[in-house]
Amino acid sequence: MPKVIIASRSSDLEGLLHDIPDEVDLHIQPDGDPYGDVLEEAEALWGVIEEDDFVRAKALKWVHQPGIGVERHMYPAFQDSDVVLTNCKGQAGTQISEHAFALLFALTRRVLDQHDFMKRKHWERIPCYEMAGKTMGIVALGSIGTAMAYRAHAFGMRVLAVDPEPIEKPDFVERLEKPEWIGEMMAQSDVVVSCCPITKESHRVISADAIGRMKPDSYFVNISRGKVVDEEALIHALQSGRIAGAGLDVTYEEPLPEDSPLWDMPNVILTSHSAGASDQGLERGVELFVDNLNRWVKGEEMRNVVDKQQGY
Amino acid sequence: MPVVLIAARHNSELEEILNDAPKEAELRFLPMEEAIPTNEGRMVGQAAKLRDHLPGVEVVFGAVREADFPFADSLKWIQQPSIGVEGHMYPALKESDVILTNCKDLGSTQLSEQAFALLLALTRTIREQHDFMKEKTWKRIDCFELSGSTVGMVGLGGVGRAMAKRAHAFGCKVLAVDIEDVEKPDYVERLEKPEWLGEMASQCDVLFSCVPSTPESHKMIDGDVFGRMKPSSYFINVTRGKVVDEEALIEALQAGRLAGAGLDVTYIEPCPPESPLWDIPNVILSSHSAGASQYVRPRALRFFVENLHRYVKGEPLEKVVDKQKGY
Repeated sequence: MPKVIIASRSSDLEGLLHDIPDEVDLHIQPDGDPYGDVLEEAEALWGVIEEDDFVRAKALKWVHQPGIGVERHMYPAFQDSDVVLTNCKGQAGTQISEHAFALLFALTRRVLDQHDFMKRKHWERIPCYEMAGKTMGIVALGSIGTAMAYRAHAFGMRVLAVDPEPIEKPDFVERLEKPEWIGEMMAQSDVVVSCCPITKESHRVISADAIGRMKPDSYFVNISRGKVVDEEALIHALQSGRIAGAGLDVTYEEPLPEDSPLWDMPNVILTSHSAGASDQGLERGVELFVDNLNRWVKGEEMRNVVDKQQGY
Repeated sequence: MPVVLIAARHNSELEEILNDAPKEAELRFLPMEEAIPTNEGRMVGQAAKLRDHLPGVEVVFGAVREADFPFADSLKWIQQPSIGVEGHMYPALKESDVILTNCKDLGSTQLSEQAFALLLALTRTIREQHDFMKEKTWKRIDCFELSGSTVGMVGLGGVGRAMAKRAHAFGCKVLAVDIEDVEKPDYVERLEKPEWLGEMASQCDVLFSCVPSTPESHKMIDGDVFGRMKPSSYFINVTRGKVVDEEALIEALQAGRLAGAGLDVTYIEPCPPESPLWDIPNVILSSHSAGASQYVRPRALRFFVENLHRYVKGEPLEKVVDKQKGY
């Protein structure tokens, strides 16, 4: 009877865990004590296993990580092991792209200026910037980038993208190139959206150089990972008015340190890494986990297996 | 040679567009004063001395108010640079043979961007995060996901269709009501006549107002409709404040019977300082900005030039307003 540990958000999950296969010995660990005394025997785990704890997980065969970004599991011992890693990629494109558009339109339609006006009961039309017909450049065309592109297309935008994988270009994307094209893509874009996971290769892929090529009235939106951006260069570009504004759900360090200039910049919106928040998210994640659990006990192929070398 | 009066604000960029105007038209420019805001939003470029310039004018690009209309002795056609035509719905114009055209369908893009800006600001807690920034607070708040939800369009004209298409791309199920016999597009799941509005509202997570202001649509979104909406639902209005029973809306919001409202337009504009709307935390007001965009004036003028070509050739004009219906 393989032992399976629920090591994360146990109090939220308990009521949602239906259709658990009988062959599994499920341990729902209390919040605050993710592994209890079962880690040495656990064969599968929902949650995260940090490098320090991994040495004890001698029986571990499979980790299912809630959420999408798997950088916390990208340490050599884990990567080199046979432990299979699955995550929730493909499950959050909806709310994350909604969040990205919330950021973009809050900037272009001046929602926050109007919000501040309301405090003084001030009625004033401000010039707004129409995005239809404009170009969106997407960094990485995974499930999040694809969700962005599809919606941008519906808003009448022209969509460009870069991605390292040999994926088929969807018809709602006008041009798809390899990451080397990023500078040129950003030079043509009116809004650049980072949908890129953090890996060794993607660290600061949105470089000072690429940021330097952005159009003066363009916007930058980041709903993936702060570390893919050269944040100093971005701050510089914003402060000097070289780009129009930025919507940042994620930052290089989180929570964003108090001394960061980003807090005080009028043309910046920060949203505390909320893009993944959704009233539907947990149910979706549980459904995937339970499905994978059933596949796992039967020795069938699981969904959302992560390539531990690539990091996504 | 028809005399054409450009009675809307213009600049050098716009004058370039007018270089494409037909040679058969004699263009005159009204000296500009500041636009005077009206209850229905701005009447673009309405200058006080319009009546002095109307005699002999056959075509006006702009607006002709009721008080000035008697001076329009040669008027045949008015091209309004905007969409909502209620300012032109006075008896003398309605009963005359003067053709009225507007810019319907030319505002759908920026109006739908505004509508989604307001809705997403509410569902993704953007304003709360903006306020957190002032305290340098980093704190995630629960958000509502639109995908999979049901949205309702009150009106499926150009604006309604543009919004429906975008809502569909966001994974929403779209319902709609319209008074006309319009074809149901495939991105709308169900389309009914306005009598279905209450039932539609009861099924929606978001209700969008996409209708013009006419005597028939006046306060059509009323206490009955708000009463049937789910407490978790949102109301978004980027068209006209007068289609809403505003007291009923305020009541519903104050009683917590709606999750929030994004209102670009209000019954009276500017929204009076004593209106409770200013202080309700889950309301966003946006000062009738939905129609604003860097393209609005060039687009209207370009369309006018195209229509002017049709006019001088005796061809049917486009975007003719039905003066009885008011749209």
